[in-house]
Amino acid sequence: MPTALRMSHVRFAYPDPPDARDGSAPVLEDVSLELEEGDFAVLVGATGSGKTTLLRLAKPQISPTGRLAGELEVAGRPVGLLAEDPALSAALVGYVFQDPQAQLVCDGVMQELSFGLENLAVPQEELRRRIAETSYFLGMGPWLHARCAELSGGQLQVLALASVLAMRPRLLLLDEPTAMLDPVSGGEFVSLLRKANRELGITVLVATHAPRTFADSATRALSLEGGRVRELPLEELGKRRELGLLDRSRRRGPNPAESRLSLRDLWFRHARDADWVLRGLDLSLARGECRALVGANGCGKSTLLSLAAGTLRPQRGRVRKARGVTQALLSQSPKALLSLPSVREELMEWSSRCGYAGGDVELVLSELGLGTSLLERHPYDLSGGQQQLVALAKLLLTRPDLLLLDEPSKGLDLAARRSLGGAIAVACERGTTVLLATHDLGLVRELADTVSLLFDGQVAVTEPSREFFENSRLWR
Amino acid sequence: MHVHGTYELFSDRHPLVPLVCLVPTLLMAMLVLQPVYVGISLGGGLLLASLVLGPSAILARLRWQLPFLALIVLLNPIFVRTGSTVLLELGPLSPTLESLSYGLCMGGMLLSTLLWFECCARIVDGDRLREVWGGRLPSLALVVSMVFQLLPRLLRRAELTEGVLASCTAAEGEGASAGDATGHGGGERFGTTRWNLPVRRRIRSLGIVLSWALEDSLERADSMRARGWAASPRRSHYRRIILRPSDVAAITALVLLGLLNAPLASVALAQWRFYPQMPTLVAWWGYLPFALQVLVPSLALLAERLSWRGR
Repeated sequence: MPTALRMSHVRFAYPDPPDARDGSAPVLEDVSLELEEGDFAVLVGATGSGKTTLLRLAKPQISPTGRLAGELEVAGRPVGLLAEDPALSAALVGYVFQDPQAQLVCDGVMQELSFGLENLAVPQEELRRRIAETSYFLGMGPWLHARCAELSGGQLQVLALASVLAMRPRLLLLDEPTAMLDPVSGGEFVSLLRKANRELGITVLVATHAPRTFADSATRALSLEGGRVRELPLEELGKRRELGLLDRSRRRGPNPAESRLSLRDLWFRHARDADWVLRGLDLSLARGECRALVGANGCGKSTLLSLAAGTLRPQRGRVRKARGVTQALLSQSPKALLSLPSVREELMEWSSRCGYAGGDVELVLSELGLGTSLLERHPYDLSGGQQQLVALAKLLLTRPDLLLLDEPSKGLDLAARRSLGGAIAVACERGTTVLLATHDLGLVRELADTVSLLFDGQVAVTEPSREFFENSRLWR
Repeated sequence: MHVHGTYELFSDRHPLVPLVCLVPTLLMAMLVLQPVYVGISLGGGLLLASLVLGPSAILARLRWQLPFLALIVLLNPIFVRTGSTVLLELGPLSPTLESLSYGLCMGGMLLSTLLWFECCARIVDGDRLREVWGGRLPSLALVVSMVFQLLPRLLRRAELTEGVLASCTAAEGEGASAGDATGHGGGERFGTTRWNLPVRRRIRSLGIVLSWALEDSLERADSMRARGWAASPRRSHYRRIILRPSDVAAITALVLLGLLNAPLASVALAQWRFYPQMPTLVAWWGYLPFALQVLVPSLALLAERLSWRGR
């Protein structure tokens, strides 16, 4: 079998920061790895372990700058050759990024599909064939003429895959492609990826925090630790990992006598001629309660949070909050809260208004397992998961009485989910009421006191967490 | 999601056809300040817009456009004192018929220009423009389309961040409380205990949106490079529609009509003045070609709709 990707004793270090004394430690110490054509390899490793760096080194057009040593070959050609010939590189190696939206260039699906081919000046006849084949293969017919802005996250990511597949690469590199997707569309994406791997013989290397999604498709499992890659047994991918939060019975739990938030008979739609998103929804939360909100994509979880926050107004019904309740909302995009030049400034932004000091910042950071080394970095230099945690830290510092969280664990690795869950549990202990919209049932199982299932604009079931999982056939 | 087909004028034609059908009219609606021409383009614009956007959308626009129009009509006599037919003696203000008509004409022109612009943007959308330009200038076409995507994306993000910031009443410090504490049918949008909070929030969200967009552009640039952007000196272009002889015929006819109307309009303009006194308008055959040009898109849309009746 020919090799699709070969790395031999690869060592890579980012350039030294100007104030460093003894040079920065290499991200990749000694990476040797060989992927045969047709492999489906899943690469796991903690946040910041260098997974993205490793992937990008095989694609010289987007490689980070730094000191590189060792040998790198793609389909038998040294990477240096690909660096000189971007057209060859584009045709051999495809790369799919994490953010479904930021990697798209055009405003229409069709244009996006043809973008790469047009760059390579592929002639008209061949263009038509490739676009037709790709669209057929991935089943994109129904939304081929849609605007990108109208597509769901899952569709956007399929489009990103399609626009790369149309160029018929031999090797496909994917950097956490399912991190921003809900489990259902993530699963669909993986099945398409597997189809491309099996039927088109494309070699796949995917870096991920959620290896379970890929467990059925993968033929190789790799782990990046301490700058080295080692082979894992395939069964490792499918294992369910407990977060190991403090047992719920040992926590104080909600105080049902003290109501914090109550929603009565809420009706809401986005426009007069739109469908009702919520139709007569009732929900009430007590002090110190952690309520999980689960349900399908687009069932109105985010809308419900905005209504609870008061930024949307129901057409009918009431949102009641206890007098003097302060609140904070973490949206799905942590960037909506971050833009100052350093994490320290970001976290201190509200200090004078909310009366906390530098010591509190360090405390919250350590609660979230972030450490103070991040303080001087720009928030945008952090990984997506770290950004999410910094945004949460910023909100926790304000000590809100009501904390509204929209998919807080999306894209986080196990350790980060653990710290996130721990910090939320601590906030609840302090009396904060938490409303948590999520697809992360592992987190719900260990963290939430009660679970509400949202369906058809109403709360179908509200039960204590344990009973909810016991009574459900779907979620166990 | 918008519905395709409701305003797809000439959807079975090469995109150049709707383009040459609409652009001459748009230009004349912008340039020819003569009551009959303004009337024709305004009437045609209203008709087309009601077909393309729907009557309720027109009403929604008129709700802010009409007061604006009234303002122009009323303000013009205050600033412009020329004209010979005084309508009213109001001390220093003595509005004349001429300046009032000038304001009316000007307002009508503004209205019809807006209408035609909106119809143009709806009918000849980014896709169709790219079909037209893309073959010749694929890189420029791409850059233009990226610029056009940017604004709506920034606006969506601004709305999101403002919502998020407004939701965080805990960040407003002591004394602030959630807006809906009293719970009157949803209550205020958010509690503002300090007058400058919304302003601060807006400035903050602007900063967030801009740095977010910059960050996105880095990833987008990577994604472009990864797919061979600038790998070849020339880009090719995926053509969905081929320019056929019947399209060429339609384009020629429309261009000729436009070319005929230009000198006619300049004749009409030469014979018209507002000050000091307006000449009497007379019936003239020269208005007919312009009326035809203005009505072609609406007639084509109506014919298309009729052809689906009874099927």
